[in-house]
Amino acid sequence: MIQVAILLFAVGIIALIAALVMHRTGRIHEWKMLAFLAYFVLPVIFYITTVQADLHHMESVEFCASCHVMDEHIQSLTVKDDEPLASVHYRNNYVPQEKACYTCHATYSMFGTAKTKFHGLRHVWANLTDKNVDPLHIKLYSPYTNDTCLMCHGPSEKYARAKKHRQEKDFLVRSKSGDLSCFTAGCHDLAHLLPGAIEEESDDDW
Amino acid sequence: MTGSSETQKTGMIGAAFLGLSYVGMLASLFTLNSYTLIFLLPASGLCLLIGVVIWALSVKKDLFQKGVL
Repeated sequence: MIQVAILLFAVGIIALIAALVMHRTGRIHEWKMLAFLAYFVLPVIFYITTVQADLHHMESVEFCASCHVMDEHIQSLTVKDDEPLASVHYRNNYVPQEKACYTCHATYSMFGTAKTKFHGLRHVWANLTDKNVDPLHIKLYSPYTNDTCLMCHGPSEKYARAKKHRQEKDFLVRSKSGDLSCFTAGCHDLAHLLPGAIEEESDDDW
Repeated sequence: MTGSSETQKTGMIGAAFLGLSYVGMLASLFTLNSYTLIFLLPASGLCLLIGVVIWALSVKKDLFQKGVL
């Protein structure tokens, strides 16, 4: 996508310069079509291509990591512990590693992508306006829904056959409807194990 | 559509805005910083819009002068 955008940039700039030259020299017939291309068609196509490439880039872990406040969460992806969900999913490649944050924090509904982007803008705004954001205590705006987990685990046989998932009657139905949360204490309640939080805890022990 | 010097000038301003939007969009492709990206994209879009509108107005003005419109 980036290659296409760069090509469009080069063609667009050349067309713009050519249109200006034509405009000055007064070559009437070439000018009309070229001007339409240079002033309207090419910039709009270039903008659409750029936005698409940027949206794609915004899904990467690298992008999320560009805000320092997320450092702890990014580090938590590689913590060698088999309990925190983020680390388990990332290290075992259960989610695409290059867009691990997006895969688990995107909303999978009809307007999910747009909703996710608005949430992202809200994060940036919160980070800009609230100078006292504590990287160790970042909270979600609303409780994490089971839908995101069930997007992958729902159709999985392993999930349906898991012993603990069969202990309770109607477990699968209730978890699908959201009556039961996957994050209930004692189930999958540890999403991220933040290295800073571990240090903080060990300091408290002293 | 050679245009009068006035419409030529307007076209140049439009081209300048479009050039700015091109640079902004290209920069957005290479930046990894979320803040830069979030400001660059709308700013480039705005420049694009202004450039296209200015160009369209200059065309309209030209057509008026020639009596087409």
